[in-house]
Formats: sequence, C-alpha cells, structure tokens
Amino acid sequence: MSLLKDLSELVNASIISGETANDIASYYKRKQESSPNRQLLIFGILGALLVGTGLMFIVANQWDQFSQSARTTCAFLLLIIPQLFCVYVLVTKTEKVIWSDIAALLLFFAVGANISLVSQIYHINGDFSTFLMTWMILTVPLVYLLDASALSLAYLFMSMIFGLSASESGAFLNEEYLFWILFILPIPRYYQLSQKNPTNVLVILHHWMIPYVLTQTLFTVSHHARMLMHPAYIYLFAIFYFIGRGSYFKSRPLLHNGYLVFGFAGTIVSLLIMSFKASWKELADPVYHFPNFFRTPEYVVCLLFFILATILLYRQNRHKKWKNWTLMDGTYLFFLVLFILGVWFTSLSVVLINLLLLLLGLVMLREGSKHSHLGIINLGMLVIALLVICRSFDSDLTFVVKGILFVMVGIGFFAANWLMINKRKEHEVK
Amino acid sequence: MKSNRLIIGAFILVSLAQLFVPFQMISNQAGSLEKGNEFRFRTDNRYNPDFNGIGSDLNGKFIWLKFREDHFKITDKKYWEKVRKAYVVFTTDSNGYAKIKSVVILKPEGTPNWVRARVSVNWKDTTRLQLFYPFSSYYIQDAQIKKIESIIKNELCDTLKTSYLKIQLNENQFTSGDLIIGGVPFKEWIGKTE
Repeated sequence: MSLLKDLSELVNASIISGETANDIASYYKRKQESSPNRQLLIFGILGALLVGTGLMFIVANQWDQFSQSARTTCAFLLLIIPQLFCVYVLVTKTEKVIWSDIAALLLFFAVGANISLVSQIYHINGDFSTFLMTWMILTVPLVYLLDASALSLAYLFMSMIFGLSASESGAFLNEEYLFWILFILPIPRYYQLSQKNPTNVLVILHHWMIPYVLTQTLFTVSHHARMLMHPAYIYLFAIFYFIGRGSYFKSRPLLHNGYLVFGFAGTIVSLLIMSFKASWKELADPVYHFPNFFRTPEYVVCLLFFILATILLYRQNRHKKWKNWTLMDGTYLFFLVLFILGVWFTSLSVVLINLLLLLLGLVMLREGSKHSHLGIINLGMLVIALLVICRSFDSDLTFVVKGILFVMVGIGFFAANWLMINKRKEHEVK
Repeated sequence: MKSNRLIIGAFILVSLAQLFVPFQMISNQAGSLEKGNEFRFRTDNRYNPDFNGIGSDLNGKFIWLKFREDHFKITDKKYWEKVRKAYVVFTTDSNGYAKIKSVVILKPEGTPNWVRARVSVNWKDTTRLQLFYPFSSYYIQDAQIKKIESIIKNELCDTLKTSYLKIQLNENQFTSGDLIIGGVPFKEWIGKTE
C-alpha cells in the first residue's frame, strides 16, 4: 500500500497529523483483515481442481490392472477423503473462507466422479441427465452447510448442463422442468451472500453466472409454441436490465454487473433477430390462434416474466417523471405491442422493430454525446452498424448501396469518436 | 456451538446419502442382473477401406459394434422425428439370437427384456428408425492395438463368420458378456494371434 509508505513523509511535512496517520494505518489494517485474500482464493480453487484432475490421471494409468473391488475402493476413497476434509473444515471452524470453498468444490467433483466411476466399473446403464440430476441433488445442501460460493457457481453451471441435456433427451417426460427447482435451490444463499459480502469476487461471478444460465436454459420450456419464446426472452432480458439498473448495482462498476450487460445485449440481439421477416413465419400456425396458446408453457412463462418485468419497472420508475424514462425501460412494452400487431400485420411489425432499433441507437448516441461518454456513443454506433449488417442480408439493395451504407456507418464511428475527443480536449483547455 | 453441531450433523447425513446412492446403484445392478435374461446380439461390422481397413470401429479402448438388429420399420416419420430416446423390447428368433419385438415411447410393462436407446429416423430411408444401443461399445483391456486391428479387420468384419455379443439384460440394466467371433471368444482370438 503506497499510501501507508508515505504516511510518515506526510506527517513530517505537517500535511496530516500523527493521529490521522494512525487512523489511516488502522483503517487499512482492518480492511485487509476483513477481506479474504482474493489471490489465495483463486489459486486455492485452481489448485484443488488441478490436484483432483492429476490424481484421476494417475489412477487412470493403472486402472485396467486393478480388480473390480480395488477399483470400487478407489472410487469410494475418492469420495470419502473430500468428505473428511469437509468435516475437518467444519470442526476446526477455520476462519478462512477459502478452505470451506476448496473443500466443498473438491467434494462436489468427487460426488460426480464417484457416481460415474461406479457406473463405469459395474457397467450401469443410465441417462446423462439422470446422472446430473442425482449429482446436483446430492451436492446442493453443501452450498448452505459449507457456506461455499465457488461450489454454488459450479452447481449452477452443472444444473444448466442438466437442463439442456434433459431437454435434448430426458430420462422421462418433462424432466427438463426439474431444472427450475434445481436452479432455485441455491438462490436464497446467493441473495444472502450478495447482501453480506457484495465485493467478493465469487459473488460478482454469480452476477454473471445467473443471467448466463437463465439465458441458456429458458428455451427448454418450449415445446410447441416456439414463437412465444421471443417475447419470453425479451421480458427476461428486461428483468435483467431492471435488476442491473437497480439500487444494488448503482454504485458498482459495469464489470460487477452481468445483469445489465446481459439485459442490454440480450434485448438488442433479440430485437435484431425479430427484425428479420423470416423470424415471424411460424406465427401463422394454429397453435398461436386464440385461445390455443393459453394452454402452452411458453405463454405461462411470457405472462410470468411480463408481470415480473412490470413490477420491477414500476418499482424503479415510480418516482421518476415521464421525461426521465429511458427508451430501454419501455422496449419490452413496445415489443409486446409489435408482437401482437405482427399476428395480423407482420411486415408492419418488422418495419417498426427496425425503427425501434434505429431509435435505440440514436438515443444512445444522444445520451453519449450529452454525457461526453465515448462508450455509450460507440455502443449506439454498434447498434446501428449491426442493424445495417442485418438489413444487408435480407434486403434487395445492390452491392453499391450496401457498400455505401457500410462506409457511412464506418465514417460515423470515426467522426463520432473524433468529435468527442476534440470536445473533451476543448473542455480541458478551458 | 450448538449451530455448528447441527451443521456437522446435517453434513454427516448428506455425506451418508452421497455414499448410499452409489452403493444402491451397485446392489440394484447385481440384483437386477440375477433376474435378467441373456441375449445374443448378432454383430454386423463391415470391412472399411479407411484407417488400415478398420474404419472407425476402433476408438481408444473400445470397439464400436454394429448390430444387425439396429433398425425398426416405421410408418409415421413425422412422429418419430421428434423422439430422441425410446424403449426397445427384445425377443429371440428361431436361431436364438436377439430380435426387436417393438419400439415404444412409454416404459414397457410385463417384460424385463428392454433397453432405452437413442433413436433417429434414417435420412436416406425414412421408413427406417435407426437405433443406437448403449452397449454398442465393447471395452477391450488389451493394449496391443495392432493385434486388435487385425482381429477386427480379418475376423469381426468377415461376413462368413457368425459374430455376436452376449448381453445380460433386465429392464435397461445390462452387462456386456463375451464377444464371440466364429464361435471363439474375443479374448481367445487375442491369444491365437500371438
């Protein structure tokens, strides 16, 4: 800490008093003691993973020569040793969070390895999704018992793999819906941790993992009315966006805010997909006719997410004046109108979605320029550039016109950045 | 202190469950196979000019077996295109080899002779439902790859020889037995080639 080194110099120069210097020194000491060593945590987890993998390779080398009982013993030792390590961590009540994280993560992988080894040794046939489900059920209590955030991340990721695998070829009908139960189980712990220790690197990783897992798995609810997944995704991204814009993330950097990134990027990508006329062609199918779609799980998801997004919108904007609302706030509502309109006037909806995207890009350019923020300006330019690229795919424009459009967007990028840098320089000179 | 004891107690219970599940898997497998029936699945590996004449039949420590009974006649292509896995019920033909009795979506009742297999409609012949059995990979302990390659090429792919895999089957639980090529078990073929 360079400030601590300079303290005596500052005291000698009579810039700060000796008392203030002591206060500063004790503040940093307290801070260092309370925050767990981030580097140690990361390397500890990496070390646990590498040691586990290394041991598996060593055993695998002689695996064929072992008898069935020797192999079974190995498989169970692989499970019992991490279990004993966890008991040791619990009994000694070690203050270092890192040990419970490492122990829990080792046990998490040991449970999976043990089940798959036993299946391999005894040639037990089974579905991959059932294996994952068993593994997750057996390890989810560890999230609470061992206070383990690293485990919770691994658990969420593997639950996602379960959801995807169950939807592809489940062991029984509608097995993929079990993913939602598995997903919800560690969420109270995540919420608790995010309130208690918001700057912890593993908690920050959760802010990315949760929107990632939900984005990957939401489509697994879809069976018949696939078109309804477009609004469902838009509402999900709206929820992410509102969470990301909420009070919890207000003073945090963008790197901590996976919700905002997923919410924004997801909304833009979903709108870009719907800006193609081909994305709407299924809407003529009988399943989308009134009242057939009411019975589909896709509709239930749409309704649920729409209500949730609207609650969040209301909570965040209830004290705001209309003119302070952003266009992104209402994008999901506009989309709902355009989607319903698309049932009868698809072409009109497609045109309006293109206009909405253009407007979003322009609004961002205006916002960026107003706040002298190069990032927002470039983001606005990127939205417009993506829109131009998408339109160049499906429009009947000649190559010359397409070329001119691309050149114009390119020049726009340069010009916006150049103007903004000049503006900043002028501001600094003044 | 009291809460820590509770946590340790709960952890021990979870640990016991983690140990119980694999134990139960082993005991279920042993119990179910005692009741199971043995089937002989005729193999249908053919000579492939690629990769030393063994094609993709050898993959690491597994021989990928192709079976004669690996397809089923269907009429409703559209229906089967949506199905990823199905239950294949077996019976035996007049020569005592395994024969497909039916392929169904719901778990078969009243017979233990079934396995759950991945299915897909054949892209060339849409009246043919292709079946991928979980026992199609035959594990080989021997590391002498050259010798195994020669057995696959000259013996297993020899259409004049009758080859089959013994499978002990009971409600999706199975154990692969010997791979018999021309009346001789695979392990003996390795000894012979020496």
